[in-house]
Amino acid sequence: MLEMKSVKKVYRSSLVETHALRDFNLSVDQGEFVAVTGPSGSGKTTFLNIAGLLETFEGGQYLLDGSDVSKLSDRERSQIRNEKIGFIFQGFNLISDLNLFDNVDVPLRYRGMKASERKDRIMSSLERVGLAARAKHYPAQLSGGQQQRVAIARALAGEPRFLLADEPTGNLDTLMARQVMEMLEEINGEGMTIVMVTHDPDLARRAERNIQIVDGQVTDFKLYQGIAQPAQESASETIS
Amino acid sequence: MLGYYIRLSWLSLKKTPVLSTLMVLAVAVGIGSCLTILTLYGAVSSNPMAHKNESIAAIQLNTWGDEGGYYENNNIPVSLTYLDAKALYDADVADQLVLTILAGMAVNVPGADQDASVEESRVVTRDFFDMFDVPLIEGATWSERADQYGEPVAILNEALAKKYWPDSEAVGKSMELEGVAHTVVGVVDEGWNMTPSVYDLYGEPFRDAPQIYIPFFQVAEKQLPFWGNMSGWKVEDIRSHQDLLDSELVWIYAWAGFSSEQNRGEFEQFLRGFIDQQHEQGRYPLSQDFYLQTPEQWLDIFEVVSEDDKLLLLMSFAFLSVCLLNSVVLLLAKFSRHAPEAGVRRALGASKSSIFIQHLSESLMIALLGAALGLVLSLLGLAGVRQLYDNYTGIASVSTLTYVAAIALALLAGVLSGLLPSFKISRTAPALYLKAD
Amino acid sequence: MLETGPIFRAMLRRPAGPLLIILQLAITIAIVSNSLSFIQKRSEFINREPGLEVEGLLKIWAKPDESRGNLDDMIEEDLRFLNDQSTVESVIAINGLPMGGMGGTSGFATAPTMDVEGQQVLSAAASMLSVTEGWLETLGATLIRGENFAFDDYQRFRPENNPTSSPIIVTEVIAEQLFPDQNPIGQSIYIGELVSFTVVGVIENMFGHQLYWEWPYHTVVIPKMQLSESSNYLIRTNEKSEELVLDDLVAGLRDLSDNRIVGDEKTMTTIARDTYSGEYAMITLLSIVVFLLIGVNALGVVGLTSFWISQRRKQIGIRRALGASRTAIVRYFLLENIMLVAGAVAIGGIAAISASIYMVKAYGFEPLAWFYIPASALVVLLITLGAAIFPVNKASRISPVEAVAGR
Repeated sequence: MLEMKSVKKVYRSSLVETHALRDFNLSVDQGEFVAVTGPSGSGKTTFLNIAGLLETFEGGQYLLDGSDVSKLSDRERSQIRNEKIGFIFQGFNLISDLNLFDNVDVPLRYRGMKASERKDRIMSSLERVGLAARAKHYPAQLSGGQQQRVAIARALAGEPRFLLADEPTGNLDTLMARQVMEMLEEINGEGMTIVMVTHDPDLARRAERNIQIVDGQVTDFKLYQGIAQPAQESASETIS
Repeated sequence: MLGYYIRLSWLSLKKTPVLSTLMVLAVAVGIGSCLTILTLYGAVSSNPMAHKNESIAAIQLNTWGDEGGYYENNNIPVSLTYLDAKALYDADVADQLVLTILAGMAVNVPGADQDASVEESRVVTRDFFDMFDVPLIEGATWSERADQYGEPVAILNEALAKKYWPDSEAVGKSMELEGVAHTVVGVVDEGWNMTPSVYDLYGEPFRDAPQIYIPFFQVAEKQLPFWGNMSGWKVEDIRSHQDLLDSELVWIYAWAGFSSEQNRGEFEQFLRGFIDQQHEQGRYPLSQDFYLQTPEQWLDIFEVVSEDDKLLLLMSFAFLSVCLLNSVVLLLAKFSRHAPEAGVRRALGASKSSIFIQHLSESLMIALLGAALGLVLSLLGLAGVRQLYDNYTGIASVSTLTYVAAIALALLAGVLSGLLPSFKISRTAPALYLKAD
Repeated sequence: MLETGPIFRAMLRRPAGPLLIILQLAITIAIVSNSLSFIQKRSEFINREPGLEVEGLLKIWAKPDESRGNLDDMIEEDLRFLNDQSTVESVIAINGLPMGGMGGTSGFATAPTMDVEGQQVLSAAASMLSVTEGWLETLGATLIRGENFAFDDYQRFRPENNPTSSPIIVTEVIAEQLFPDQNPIGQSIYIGELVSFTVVGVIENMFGHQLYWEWPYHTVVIPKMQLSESSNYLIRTNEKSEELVLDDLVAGLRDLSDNRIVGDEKTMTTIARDTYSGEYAMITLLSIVVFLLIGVNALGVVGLTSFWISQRRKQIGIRRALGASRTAIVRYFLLENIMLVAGAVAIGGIAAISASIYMVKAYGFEPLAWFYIPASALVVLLITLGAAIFPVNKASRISPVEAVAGR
């Protein structure tokens, strides 16, 4: 469903050229739960931004759902983000002035949907994450875990093709982190593709496939039932 | 979508109450001043006879014999000699001919409680009422005969009529003007006042309406207490009223009304012939020109809109531009704090234009609030102007123009001041603001 | 040390804000300097020496409502009555009204006709004041050469009996214009071939009835008064309450007989003020504009400075942690403001001068006196600093802990 081939991303400042991603290859199938790991500075964030069509890249190709989304205009990328990608951020990134209902509403607003249709979707999303009763409350009135669940509801409301999560449990305590991860696994169980970026190996283990980025390139690492085994394709270091 | 943006804008304004208030205030002051001056300027520069701009004309005859030309206006005398005025009237070529001067007539109604007083009186030929759309609520214009022979009839302003005869009709009553008994034949609606008084723009074109109207040719018999401007280019020995009537002194305003283009042509032809003939008799020494000025041109010739008025207009727009710049700066600052939320919205699929319009709505909201407050301020401003300028009392008040201008300025201010800041925030790179660390 | 370098570089990095502020302040300076100059010029215009004693001078207008034949008698009677009043120092009847905007003017020449062999004929236009005895004290004018009219010179006449000659007293400027470097006393001036006048005295420059033409001090005084249908009286009083005296005298005059109209009574101060009402209005309006303009700028500065400071709390905390004293913080932000104003003065000065040039060309106003530009800049600087002081003071109280606190 999601394919990146030989993607290259270079950051240029007046003094320095940084190759954040070089010859990056990745393939994610429908329904997979993939964790992308790597040390800081490895290019995880860049990958996230590119996968989420938040940034453009210099070389290679990005195919989403079979279409080439490599060289789209800003408007087209916005539209795809809106319709096909569901974001979940470490810092939740809920809008504090809006209540939960209005927060989940945000992506739907940019689709030109009718008010009644929006309402249905929002309420069913909130119900899915168990927070429908608190629809009129504000983010500040919720715990971290609850806020992240609202963010998930927001991501789901648009019926995206995949969820893109950035350290979804980074700001949560152990109990809430577990709740959130369980929820994500549930959703994945229902058929939703999830790509999760994290530096926490425990977290990464819960995904069925791990991909490691080192120095802007992929090292694929599949995980079956807790036993680490190197992938056949490339020769690289394993890190446990 | 618009409703959504309005809601978001309101939420955003509430978040920074002090800053938002300052911004609304600044816009209000700027728009308020503009509205005050615009209203005033609109009134001062209006042409109440615009609808007849092509069908009536003020007559200028260049009787001046001094090389330097007439000392004022457009260098040509703006009034006529009695000789010329009478000749024009008698020729009866134009469909309508109005001759007019301003006089201060002593008014007395024997037996009434009121003391004798002096009232501003317009001395006119009967075509005046039709030409200048003067509404009569009682009676009618005097007859052609009364007009020709300057009979002692008068048309009063409703206010004056009510002063002397509060409970009955004034038509038919008798009133002493300068000691001579006049019969009232008509009453003019007291609500009517042409501002500026196109028919006679000398002195105070925004003065109150005349209280009395009497037939012009009363001047053929005697001197009336003249309150206008009389000037001459040569030294003349004027010892009697007849000397005045025969002299080259100019003091009478003349207007011609045309029923058709052909009529105008006939009139012009007549004038040319008349002037040539007079020139042969030694008058019109320098030039035999004549000019038929439209009301629009007449207003220009008398510079009804003063340089000061124009300066104030310029000032108010300069002031508004400062307020707009102020808004831009404050909006830039305010919107810079919106970057994180804008980044989230962009990530969730908002296009740059959505973010742009969202913030432009906020700018428009501030401008509209400011304009509403500005409208209230302009009421104060206009009250102040009425205090300052005695002769603008009648015209310095809120008009349709004020409301239209308020909306126009609000939109202008909102869009102009919002353009740059909204543009900047719409360019927020979503990725930058999403990471928590 | 003054951190102008770093401040400047910081501004260059995000130039939009600073540029707009500079533009805003620049236009403000341009408007304020032109307005101040305008106000000063208009004030000067209003404060010109009138050449007569305005305070204590009252005017009453009277008219007999019978045929004109009674006007002379009316004047005689009224002058006698008024002179008898204890509140009246002196009184005259007058045709024309100094500073009143209406009256007769005429051209006066040094010869009856303009072309005289071998002689340059000079001429001047002047306001004519026809007066009765006692005019010098009543008006409060000052005779500087020659003498006042003799008792017999004063005369009132009907238009049929226009005199062909008369003594005349002129203002200095007329004397200078018609008889440059000569003694004007005894000289003759003419209105065409109609009337000849002998100059018997010269008064200090005094306003005629026209204040808005080229020659406000072109005034001549004539003791021959033409009777028309009404007359003005000018009364000098030493009483403080001019309005009360006026009401009193008007009532008194009305009581004298039924067949007259007495009215339009005003103090000379009011008349002067009315004549200048346009100027007063402009001065007031412009002052309000200046005041509001500065107010708007102050509001903007307060809003903006507070904002900037809240944005840079961490930066300020870091500075404090690194040893900056509270004064140093205050100095930093005030310096920022000063630099913006400095930029604004440069642009504003050019804008002010350009605006002035345009207004001279388009409206014929007087050009800007250059020192108003630094004067306005100073005002703007003081106001912006004053407005910024409150938020900046608060900023200096930000504790170094902010640097460490993070978000």
